This record gives sequence, C-alpha cells and structure tokens, in this order.
Amino acid sequence: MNAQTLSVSQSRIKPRSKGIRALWSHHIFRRVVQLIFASFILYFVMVRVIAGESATSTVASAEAFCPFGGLETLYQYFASGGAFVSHTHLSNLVIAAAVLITALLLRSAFCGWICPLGFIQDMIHSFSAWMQKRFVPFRKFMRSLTQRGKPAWNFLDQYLRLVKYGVLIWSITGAAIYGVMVFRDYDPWSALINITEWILTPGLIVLALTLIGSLFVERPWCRYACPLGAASGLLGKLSPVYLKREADACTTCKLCTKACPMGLQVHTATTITSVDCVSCLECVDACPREGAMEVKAGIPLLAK
Amino acid sequence: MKINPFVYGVIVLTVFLGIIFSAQGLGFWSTSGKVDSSGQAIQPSAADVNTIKGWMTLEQVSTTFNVPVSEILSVFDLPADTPASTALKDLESDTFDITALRTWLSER
Ligand code: SF4
Ligand code: SF4
Repeated sequence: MNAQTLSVSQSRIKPRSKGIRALWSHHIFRRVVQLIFASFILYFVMVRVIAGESATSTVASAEAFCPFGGLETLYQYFASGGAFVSHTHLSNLVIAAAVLITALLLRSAFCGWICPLGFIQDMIHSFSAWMQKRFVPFRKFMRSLTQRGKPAWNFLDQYLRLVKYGVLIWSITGAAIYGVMVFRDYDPWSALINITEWILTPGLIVLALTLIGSLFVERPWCRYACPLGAASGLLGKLSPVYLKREADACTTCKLCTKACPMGLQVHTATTITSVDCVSCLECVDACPREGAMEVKAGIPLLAK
Repeated sequence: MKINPFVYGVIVLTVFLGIIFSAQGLGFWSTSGKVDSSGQAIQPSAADVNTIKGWMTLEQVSTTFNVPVSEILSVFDLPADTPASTALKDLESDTFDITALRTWLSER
C-alpha cells in the first residue's frame, strides 16, 4: 500500500530493532560520522600543539579545513588571480565548494552530519538532557526557564534567527573590502581550534556563550549566528531533497518536533524545506508511524 | 522518490568527500602557505615584498633582500640578541609588524 493512501488508523507502527541490531540505527550512524570528523580536526589541533608552529614546520593548521574560510577568501582569490586572505589556502576553497555543492544537492547536510561545532553543541545539549533526567534540582531549574514547554525567551527566536544572514553579509563583504578575515576575531570555531594560545578574543566569549547556551537551547550558534549555516541553508532551498510529513499517516504525537535540534515545528508542516533544517533526519528517526515522515527527492522547488 | 536515511548519509559522505578527493587528485589542494599545491616550499622573492609572510624567519628575509639581520633589529627597535631563526610574526610589537617591514624594504 502506498504511504500516501494510509490513514492514521491504517498506518502501522514502525518495527523497532532489538538487541545489538538496535545499535545500527541512523542516529548512531550519524553520531559516528560526526565523531570521525571532529576527531580529524582534534588530531590537527593536537599535532600543532605538540609539534609547535615553527617556521620550518608545514603541519596543517586546523583552520585550513574550515569551509567558511573558503567563502571569505573567494572574492580575493578571483579578484587577485589566486591570492588568499591570510589563514586560508586552497583546501579552504575546496571544502567550501564541497559544502555548497552538498547543500545544492542534499540540503544543509554538512551541518547535520559533518560540522564539528554542530556536533559539540549536540553533545552538550545531550549532556544537559541527561543531567535533567538524573538531577531533580537541575531539572527544576531548567523547567523554571520555560513557559508551556518552550524557553521563556522563545518570542525572540524568530528575530534572532535572522542574525546569521547579517553575519554572512558582514563577513563576506568585510573580507572582500579589507582583504582580511573581519569575522575571524569573533568566530567561535577559530577560537576553539586556537584555544591553546590562551588569548582572550571576542571569539572566545562567543564560544563560551555558545557552549553554555547549548545547555538551554539546542544548537544556538547554528540557529542564530552561523554564516556558513546561513549560506548552506539558502542554497539548500534549490535542492531536490525535502522532508515530507504525510498528514494521513501522522498522529500529531509531536515526537518529530521534540527531536528537532533546530526547534522547527515539524508536526504542523507538510513539507519541510526550511533554511534552518540541518538534514539530521532525527525527525524521521523519531517518528513512530510507518510512512508518516520521510526523506524524499523530487523536482527542485516544485516537487512538494 | 523516498530515500532511506542510511542511504542519505552515505550519499552525503560520497558527495562531500568525493569533491575533496577529486580536487586533491587534480592537484588543487594545499593546506599550508609554506608549500605550494605541488608541495614545493614557498620562498620570499626579492622582486616582491608582498611574498614576505609572518611565518618566515628573519634569516630568510635577510638573505633574500640582502639586508643584515642586525639592521632589521635596530631599525625596528627589536632586541639585538634576537635569534635569526625567529619567525616574523613572533616579533610583532608596537614597533614592528609585517606591513612595516614590507614598506621599509620596498623604500630601501
Ligand atoms: S550552522 Fe554552522 S556551526 Fe552549525 S552545523 Fe552548520 S556550519 Fe556548523
Ligand atoms: S526538520 Fe528534521 S531533519 Fe530538519 S533539523 Fe529538524 S529534525 Fe533535523
């Protein structure tokens, strides 16, 4: 029977794997992928700390793998016939292209599956959820900050989500005009991979706010301020991939919405093509009904 | 067309890493300003002060531009016992930075 024709009473509950097979879930697969990419970056940070940054050493800096550096240097690269703004290299350009092409084909999958900063925020929020389950005072404190299940500052959410587009415009035009990374001093990712330099920069403060904020809100940096997520989300609008909630098979249990790290109202949408969706597919994983929430591919902008 | 979430993850990795490995295979890859895309060490050029980078040493600049290390140190009020192997960016202070060094060398 086609999922489209399923009504709530007819749709089945998804069979759940048991025992060792339960470990082989999409969720675990995604976490393993995120962990591998985060470990790759950590390796370069550690090698650089241990080997030191002498003039003769050619050990790559972790910054050489930052896709946003590629976007910042793009104008300089083409305008000057191959020059880079400092701290960027060909690798930044290639990884930026990989992120944007992936977004064009598969939406913001980089954010949901690969970005180490997204992974760190995910882990901190999972830790917060774990603490709330085990420590009643912490749970009470967190509940005191919510109103009807949502953070008390939720009314600001839709406005704060626009900040990332401002950051995107400022950082790209700033790099093009001044020939330096104007965003670097404020970038929490740059602050994190250079943390052993122990220099207090605005980026370190943004990083601290992001990490502490992740205890209360899932992925605050991605939701509100990440310029790469903004660029990737906008390009993802042209992707043939989208998420479909089949209203006939859906019981409006809201498990998809609860699972969404970007705070999207999945249970009320029919197609999810939001620029903020990071394609983590946690909503698909969380949905208990067969055929109610699926990833689909169709004609870009039309097949909804 | 429905896509299985596992298959979606595999496609994401294939596209993302495929682009990166293809670029590497085509030689369009470098992770350091100290080597070019073919792995050759980058050196400052006497013809262009803009080829001076922060990671270069006093000695490299001294040899390329034919100026004694002691002269650079005294012009920029740097300690006279600074080793020639010191990277330029490690010497940055109120009296010295790469832009000032480039300007001085180009006017010299
Ligand atoms: S929004 Fe930014 S920080 Fe978040 S996952 Fe995407 S690239 Fe990473
Ligand atoms: S809508 Fe689904 S895929 Fe998109 S961010 Fe939310 S949980 Fe992830």
